[in-house]
Amino acid sequence: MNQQAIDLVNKQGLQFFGSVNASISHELKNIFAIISETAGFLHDLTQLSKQGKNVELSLLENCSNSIAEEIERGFDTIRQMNQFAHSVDDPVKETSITDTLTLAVKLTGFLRYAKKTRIDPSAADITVLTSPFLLQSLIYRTLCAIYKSVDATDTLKITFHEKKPSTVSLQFSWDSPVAFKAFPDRQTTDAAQALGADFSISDNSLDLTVAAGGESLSAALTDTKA
Amino acid sequence: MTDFEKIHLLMVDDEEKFLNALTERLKLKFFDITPVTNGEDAIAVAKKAQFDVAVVDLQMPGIDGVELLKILKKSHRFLEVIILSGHATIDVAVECAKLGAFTVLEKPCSFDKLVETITAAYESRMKKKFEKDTNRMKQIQSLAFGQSPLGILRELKKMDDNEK
Repeated sequence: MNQQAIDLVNKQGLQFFGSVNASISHELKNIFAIISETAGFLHDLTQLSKQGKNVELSLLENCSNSIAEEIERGFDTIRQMNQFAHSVDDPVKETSITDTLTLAVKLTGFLRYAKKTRIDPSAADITVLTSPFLLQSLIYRTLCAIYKSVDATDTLKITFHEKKPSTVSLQFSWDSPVAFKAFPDRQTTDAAQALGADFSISDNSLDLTVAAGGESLSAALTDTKA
Repeated sequence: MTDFEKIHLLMVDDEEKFLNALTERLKLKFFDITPVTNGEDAIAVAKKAQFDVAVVDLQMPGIDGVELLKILKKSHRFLEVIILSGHATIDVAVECAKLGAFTVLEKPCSFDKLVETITAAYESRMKKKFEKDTNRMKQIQSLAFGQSPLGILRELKKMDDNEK
């Protein structure tokens, strides 16, 4: 199991990083495309004004607001990219479930098949000693599978709580019944096993139970770091 | 420029702000534009109005660009479709070309390049339509010799049926 965790970080790591970075770069391209066209429209309006044509001030205002909003969206995307990049800094550490879920929801939100998602605001944050990268990867893959399966109009609800002994339960639920095809797949199963996680799937929910204390995982991963 | 002379353009992109900014710019270039944010709406408006060129984003929720390309080309033979893609790989370009796309442009692409491509797509459409009309005229002329009026009508009906 410990060796499996090490192999997973090595083998799945690059592939997962690649796919997440591809979706982030797609989002950034969209942002740049909007800024580029809006700046171009501003230029066109300036030329019209120089030719003596009447240009409505509201058009200029809309353009500058749109550019400012897209720049903020760009900064936000880069912040998420940075946060994700730092998930490999420590092989094992105390990891916030709220932060991990929030980042996973934001990163999967760049995918064209992502659905509306709401994390339960009343759920009190829990920290677990685990591999933040593998946990992020496991939640990301789980969200992808749910998004691909649930109805387009459904809103995914996520909640979590501490379960005895030393486990955290994350529940993903939706309204219209779903029959999952080929989930969990091999990579997801491997990641779940390495983290001591289990899935329980029904028509309207998916429960992910994760071991909260990763001492054995910690020993294995820090050994390889040394 | 009159409405008749304008190029009728269908723009499909789920990035609403991108769509709006591009629509405003293209309007200044005298294009007649119908912007929609998804494939389902694109199919619906294409049934009601005639378009010369469609500019379609590849990655969209629901009906994606490739699926929309297939549907539009099936029901609108002379409509030229330009695909805009965030990941314009060779594979994507080959697949879209096989399905009849005019070309694939990488997003973001320069505005001048887009206008140039739309104009070229329009010219391609007009050329294909002209060739089709010329062939039809030739067929009609050949029918006119030695046929009764009823015979000519029957032959015209056959020609129309074959074009559906």
